[in-house]
Amino acid sequence: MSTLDQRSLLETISLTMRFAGLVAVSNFNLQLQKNELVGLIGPNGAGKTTVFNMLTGVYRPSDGKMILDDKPLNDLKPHNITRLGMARTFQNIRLFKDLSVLDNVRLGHHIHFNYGLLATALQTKHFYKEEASTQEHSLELLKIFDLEKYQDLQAKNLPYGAQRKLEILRALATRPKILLLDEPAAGLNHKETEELMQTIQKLRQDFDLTILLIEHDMKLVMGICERILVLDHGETIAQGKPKEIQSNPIVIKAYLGDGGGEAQT
Amino acid sequence: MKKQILTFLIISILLFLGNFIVPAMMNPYLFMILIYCGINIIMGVSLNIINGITGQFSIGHAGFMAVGGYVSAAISFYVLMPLLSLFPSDNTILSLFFQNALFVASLLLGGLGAALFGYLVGLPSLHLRGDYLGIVTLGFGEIIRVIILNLDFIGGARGFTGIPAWSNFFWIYFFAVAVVMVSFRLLGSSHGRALLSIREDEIAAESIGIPITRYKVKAFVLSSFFAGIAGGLFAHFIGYLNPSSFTFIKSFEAIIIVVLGGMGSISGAIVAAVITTILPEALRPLQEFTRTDFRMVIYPLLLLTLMLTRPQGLFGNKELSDVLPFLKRKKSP
Amino acid sequence: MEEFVQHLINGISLGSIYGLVAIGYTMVYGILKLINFAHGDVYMMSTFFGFYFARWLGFAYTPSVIGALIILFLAMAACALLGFTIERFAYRPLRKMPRLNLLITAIGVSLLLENGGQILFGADPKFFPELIQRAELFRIGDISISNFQVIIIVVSLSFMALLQYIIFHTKTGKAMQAVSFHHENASLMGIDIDRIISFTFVLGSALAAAAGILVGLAYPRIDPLMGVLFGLKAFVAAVLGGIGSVPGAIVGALIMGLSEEMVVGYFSSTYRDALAFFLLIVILLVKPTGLFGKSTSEKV
Repeated sequence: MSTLDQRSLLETISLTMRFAGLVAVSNFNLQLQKNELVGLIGPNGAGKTTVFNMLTGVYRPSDGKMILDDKPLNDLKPHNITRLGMARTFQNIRLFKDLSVLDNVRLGHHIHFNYGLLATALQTKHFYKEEASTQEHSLELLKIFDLEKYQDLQAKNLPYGAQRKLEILRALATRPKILLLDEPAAGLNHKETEELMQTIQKLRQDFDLTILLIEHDMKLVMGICERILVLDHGETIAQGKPKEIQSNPIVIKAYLGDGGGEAQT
Repeated sequence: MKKQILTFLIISILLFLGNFIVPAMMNPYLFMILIYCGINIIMGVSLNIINGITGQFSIGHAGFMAVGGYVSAAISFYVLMPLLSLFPSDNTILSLFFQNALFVASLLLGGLGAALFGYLVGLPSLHLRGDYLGIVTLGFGEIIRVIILNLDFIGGARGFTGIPAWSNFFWIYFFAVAVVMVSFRLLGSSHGRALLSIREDEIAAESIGIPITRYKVKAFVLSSFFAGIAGGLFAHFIGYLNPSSFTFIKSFEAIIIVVLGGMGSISGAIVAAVITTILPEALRPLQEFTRTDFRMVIYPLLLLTLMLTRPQGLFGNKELSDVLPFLKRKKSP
Repeated sequence: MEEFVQHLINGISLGSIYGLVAIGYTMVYGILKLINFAHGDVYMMSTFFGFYFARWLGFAYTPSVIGALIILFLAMAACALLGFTIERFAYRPLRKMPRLNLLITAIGVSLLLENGGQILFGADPKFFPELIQRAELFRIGDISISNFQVIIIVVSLSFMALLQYIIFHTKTGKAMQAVSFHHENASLMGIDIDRIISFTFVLGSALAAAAGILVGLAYPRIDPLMGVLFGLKAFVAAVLGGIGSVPGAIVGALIMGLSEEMVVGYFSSTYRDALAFFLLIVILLVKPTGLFGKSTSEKV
């Protein structure tokens, strides 16, 4: 598309979510340019995950518009949005726990399959070819996080940190344009977090990704994000370069004023 | 592909030989049990697609079996039998072949009829989850039964008699093998994994682009198609159908097979189907000894004991090949 | 018009019996998320308890109100004990297991009671003794109201009122609400969950027993399989009203009783059993949580 460079890849216009009178997110405006890495931060309960849930179709926004690549997302089901090129991870890891590590990644490839039930029943050549290429591709993905040695393990038996990584790989397997990461570092120690952040940056290069990242801890995203949006009580209270955010008095107040974000975790 | 045709031929020849040898080897009573084993394998393995693999909750499987049974019986009785009578029945190979081809067509049509109902029942799963879906399937099953009860041309409450006895060992086990093989292949495919992912976590499944509603409906359609075939095989074996054979007790039997075998395990469903068919018969001598039919009590008691002592079923969610690794096939064409 | 009023009265009296049984389903579902398939058989057992108690105590041959009341309370006590036993020995050990296992166990208990009943009592129908003499209370034109219909409605309503009092005005009742809301939290508040669940089964079974005796009076033909379809329909009534809600169960049961009576009256009795399920499917498709049910959505 020729307009791709001028127009944003993902755009939301005064996106609003109300739950029975309670406003969870109001007037959320976001323009995500191709290849950007943007952080969405804010204290607990600020509405960050609600933004993700709207973008991915889990919730239908009460108001506003969402446009991905010139296509409106408002009325689409989650699986359609994934097909348009947006994949996500979840704050409280949602792996297919009883399935193997390999199957979790293979499932990520699902939308790129094109053989029918009949080919499955007859196990045609085409079927074998597709299965083999998926397997290969999945193993390659697993190598990114050094998980290929666990490929036959049930996902629930992976160490916690590896589960987070596997979820990212599953999302990557859908070959998204935009990757939404919901607190990818939650529960990881300092060293693991550093490593993960570096890998995320590398993924962006290698897969030509645009990434929107939710983080609760402000310090963490400062290093890697080009741009940061701060949400508090559903309102966007600030946005800009990490430096600007760091010194923004409104942001500091939001984090410290309401009893301190850290303590609420 | 060549290997597949070979496998198909070998299985067919074995079953064909079995068709003559097996009935000669045992008395009619044992043969009858063997036949019911085959039908129950189809019922259990097909229900496993909905309840075990997709993690949905259907308690109306008997309804699909009834639809398949009645549709194929009606087609055979009202269309195929008159058609066959136009030709001289000289028992030549050609006429036998013709008769069996018609029988398979009738079975498949019965399966399609059941699949259509499966589609209709699967649609509410757009809105409903868990128990609610279960209740709707149970309701559908009962409605189907009451409708049959009121249809006079297929016998109503009196039952449908005069169905040609075209079913035999060969066809029943042919379809049993087919259903089992399709199930295994399904599990090893992207479609099967999509069904499993729905069982594991619907929200995550949607997040990676799996249209969960469409897959749930697919599971219902496929499963009820097989149940319909089982119904047709059953109808053409005993030559008689009665609505009271398809109450929700029959659906429970299918669920018991799935749970006893271990949810999601195909091998488990096969073993459990055999056990649940044989067990009541094996307990029959006890009845003669005590002069009271204690089987009816022992059966539920065993079920309760099993649930209390081994709630994950006989196989858990494992397959025979996980227990006996030498059975594992290499994954290549 | 008169015919309609007659059907209305019959429907309400049938519906209130469904209601007593539906309450048991709804309470157990509310607290354990279990479709207690054995509940319809507890109701069946009640009629047989009543049948034998009446014989042994000699009330079967001399109709009297006192006798009927004694039988009613004896059957309720026996079924309460039965319900307690079922929960204690079949359901409790499996409470932490997947719900399907619990469901299969419920089916197992149900089959055990049905088949055991056929062995103990015989499969042939029996006739429930006339504990109270049937009489026509009054007649307006063609509308006839018997004392049985009044007894059924009055007894059902009093038990429902009593239940409402227990749930909302006693400590145990409030504990029941807490447990059905959230097991762990209730336990943290110092509520003995096991005791509350037992109590729920005792209460539900006693109400089902009352329904059993009332049915025995009005429709005396009893057999060991009578609870199967009746229980299923009572359960459907509970779903209709929104499972987990006691008022919902009562309203659902009344709708069920009335519509069944109307179908039999104006349409055809052969479609009676299908109607219940048809009604259910329509309601579930329009409002999946039933009339009084609360919708819950999963947190992502």
